[in-house]
Amino acid sequence: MLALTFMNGARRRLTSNLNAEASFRRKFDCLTFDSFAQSLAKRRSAKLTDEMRQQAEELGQFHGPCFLACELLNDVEVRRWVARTYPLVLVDEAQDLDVHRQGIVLGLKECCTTVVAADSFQCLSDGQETADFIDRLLRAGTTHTLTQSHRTNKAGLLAAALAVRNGEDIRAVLNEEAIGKTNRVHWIGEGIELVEVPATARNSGLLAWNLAFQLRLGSDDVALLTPDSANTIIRNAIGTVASKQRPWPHNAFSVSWEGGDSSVADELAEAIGFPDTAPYDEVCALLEEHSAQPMVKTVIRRIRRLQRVTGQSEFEKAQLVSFISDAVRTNTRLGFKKSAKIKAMSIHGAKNREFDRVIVLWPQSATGSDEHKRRLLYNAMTRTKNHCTVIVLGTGRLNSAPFAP
Amino acid sequence: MHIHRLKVSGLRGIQNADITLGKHSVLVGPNNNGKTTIVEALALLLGRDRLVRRLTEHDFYQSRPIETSRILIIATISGFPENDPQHSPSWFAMGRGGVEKWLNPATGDLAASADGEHTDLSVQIAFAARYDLQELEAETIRFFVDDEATLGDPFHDETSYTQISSKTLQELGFFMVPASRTWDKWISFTSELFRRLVATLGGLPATAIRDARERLWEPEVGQRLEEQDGLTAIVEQANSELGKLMPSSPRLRLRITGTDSNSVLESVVPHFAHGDGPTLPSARHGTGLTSLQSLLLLMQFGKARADANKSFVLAVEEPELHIQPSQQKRLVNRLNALCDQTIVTTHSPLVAAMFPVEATYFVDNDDGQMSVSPLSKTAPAGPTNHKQHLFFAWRQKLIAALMHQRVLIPEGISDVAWLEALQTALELRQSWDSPEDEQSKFSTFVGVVPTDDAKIAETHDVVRRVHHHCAILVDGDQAGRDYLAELNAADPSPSAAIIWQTDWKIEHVVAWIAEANLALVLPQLAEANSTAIENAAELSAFLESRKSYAPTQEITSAILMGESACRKRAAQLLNALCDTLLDPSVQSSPLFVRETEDGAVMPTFRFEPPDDV
Repeated sequence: MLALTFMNGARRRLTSNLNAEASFRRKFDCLTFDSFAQSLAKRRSAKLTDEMRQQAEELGQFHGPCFLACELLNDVEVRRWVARTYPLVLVDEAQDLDVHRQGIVLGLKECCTTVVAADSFQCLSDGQETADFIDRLLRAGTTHTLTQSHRTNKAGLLAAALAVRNGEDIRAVLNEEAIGKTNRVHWIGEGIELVEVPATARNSGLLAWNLAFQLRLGSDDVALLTPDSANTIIRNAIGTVASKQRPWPHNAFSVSWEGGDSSVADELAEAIGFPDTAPYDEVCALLEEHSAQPMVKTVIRRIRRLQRVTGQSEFEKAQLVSFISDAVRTNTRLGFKKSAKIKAMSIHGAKNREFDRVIVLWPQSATGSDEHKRRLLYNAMTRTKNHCTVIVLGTGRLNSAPFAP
Repeated sequence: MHIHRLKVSGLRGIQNADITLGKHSVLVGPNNNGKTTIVEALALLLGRDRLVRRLTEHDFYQSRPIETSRILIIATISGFPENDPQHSPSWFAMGRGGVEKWLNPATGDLAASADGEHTDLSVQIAFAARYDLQELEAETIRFFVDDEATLGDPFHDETSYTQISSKTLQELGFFMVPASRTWDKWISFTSELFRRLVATLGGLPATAIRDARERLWEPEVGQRLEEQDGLTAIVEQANSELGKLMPSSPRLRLRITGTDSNSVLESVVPHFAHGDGPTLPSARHGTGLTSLQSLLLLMQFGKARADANKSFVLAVEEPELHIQPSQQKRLVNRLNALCDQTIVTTHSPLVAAMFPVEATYFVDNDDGQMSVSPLSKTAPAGPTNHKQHLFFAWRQKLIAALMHQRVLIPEGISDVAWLEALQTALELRQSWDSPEDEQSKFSTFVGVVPTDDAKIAETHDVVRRVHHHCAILVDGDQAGRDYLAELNAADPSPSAAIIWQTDWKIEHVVAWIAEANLALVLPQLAEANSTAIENAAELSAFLESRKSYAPTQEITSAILMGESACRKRAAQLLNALCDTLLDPSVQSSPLFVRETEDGAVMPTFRFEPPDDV
């Protein structure tokens, strides 16, 4: 069986999920669309015409190979060739696919038994056309509608998420309660809490305080999700919560922002300090000093192999820096980065994942159509297993999308 | 399935080779020019590692590999059932198989998609090796070639390739019989081939083996070796010492074989019995039977595969080893009938002559550049008399000649006969104390091609296509000069041309040899031929009159070579001829005067006997 995903994170998770099923274990290959397309395009490159190659070049590295794979899958011989190894194909999150990857799925369905999972409502790319694609798939085979949630059974949370999806007032399915002895209110249900925090740029500390209060409730697996990870109020608040400062009556929380491979690579390259060119021995010596890091070990191995296989004896800085960033990328791709207990990320980054506790930080700077905002919020809420808190920055915003029609 | 085309580069003496094979092919050529390397290349590629030694520096071209040195062997395999990839899923699949290619059987071109001319489904597989200068070991991979043009270096980290599993390779059913036939090893359980054969055909006689094992491991009381006279004393003393050193008091037992099933199997030695004679181990039988063991087994294996509709490709080195000519013929015919494809290398013109001319490949290795050409590209349909003689009646002689480093085409049949007769008679006279100047190296280096009278140009045309060092020998008359002119204009022209002295034919040359001691040999010649011969002139005239009578040449040569002075002259002539052919760029030699200028397309030499008669 061939399982295809859009991103690497999803690939890792799908792989471990499939391995957990005895009937699938060791009988599948789980690849990203990219890597499948690259492999297909490379191996069958003899069938590509010059026009195809030209077009692929213009589309660039991200879409080019997928375009070529799509074209190749028009050929009956190629289809049968793929189907011989992969009679069954599984695609998840099909609503996220761009037109080229859609083309691959449409090509594969002609020769393989394909199972495609999609929820148009979860498509977060504002403006992407998935309607046609989903339509074609619906007409091409049998449809099974999945309504049962396996991630959580908290009735309140499910009802609230459904309300957002249907464009209704989220407060209608929740109970309004006073917060402690204050005159502020929040809305709660089983597994869900909705609260407004009138934080602005000048008093981000207010948000930090509320956040700390939430985090104190515990859990080892918390995600702080926001539609706008560049928002300064949110960034400052999280920064504050992460560092110990008086008069906080609590210790700092360890929060890490996800993403930022290139900065890691840059820092590492700077720390090592490659000269413009250097002979083999010197490069190895430089790298040995940092060899406690597994990524550096990978680079040393790679350079050694290069020297043995091609006899290359002089190395330039550009090449060495690219080796470092390759190693960092592979490290992330293979999931070796240590994961923190409290992770902060954009809602896009949280796609397809699940966490014990989710805290959604909804800033004023959330943009997009009403529909888009609803999808963002729905996506964030449905990452939750146990409890979701939605903190809305500002006041009076609960009367409009995504919280109300 | 069969192998259509093989490309080899960087392996031993081969820098580059590109060989197209037919259903049944025989490879011939001078010694040491790479025939065995080609067969071993197939073995390396198709996974029969155990038949080939581990790779060392000497396996890389020029024996001094650097980091970037590579051995690369690429084969195009064709003949898939129904020409449909669906029937051969292990060869054509995305994750673990190769890419479909469509072969044009007429031209050998490969296309990415099938069409009117590209009709045969094929795949390309490769073997690559590099030498690691730090580990002092070769690293090897076997993989599918998706696109030969963009192959790149498979060892580079950034190149991705799809490996071929040995199981898939086994579907081709390639087996090799190497030239060194090891004696006891073939019909024995140490032989992989034998074990596989047994497994395929009937399975191991497990019960019998286990019973034998039991008996050998726990013999009955009274049967045990350690209880026999002569051994009991030693065993008891040994046990006593052991008991003092080790608390568990181990007791010595003597057993035949290592008492596990494997040891029992490995101790099986093949024996043969002739008629009512005794049963003797195979090593004590004649070489023929021993040598045939391996082929015997392979035939069984081939039959089993054919019965199961599986492919069987056999490469045999020197099938003529140890067996008589008639057996050789039967063997080769049987092999060709039973295998999907056979590739034979041989030193026997008889074996080579059993293959049609379009399947006889002449291997030429010019300083690493190997070229392999069939004797004739197509089967000669309705051949002319001349071609009929050359390719059919005289095929063995033709092939025998082509196996030499240099090839000489004389004008007619009698020239061929004389050269042979003189050479043979001279060699028969060789003894340990023959002086240097009576020894000839002509037959070591030069092969003489049989040719019809007046057909020298046509013969040259055929031979020059497969052998690049091909010279002509013509009479010193006008006809001879005409031939020189005709062949000088040919493209390609002969690598050298020899012409006898003006108006001389070979019979005159023989008379010149006789003149070394005319007084002695003339009476003998006259008597042996029952004619009166008074002088040299009459001798040459007589010989010419008898040119198509074979015994004349033999008898005359025998008498001449009986005389020391004549031997010297004959040797001098043949050696000078040989030297000239070996290096036509020389200015002149004692007997042959150069007629053409330096750098001439066809260096021409004229025979001029020295004036010391």
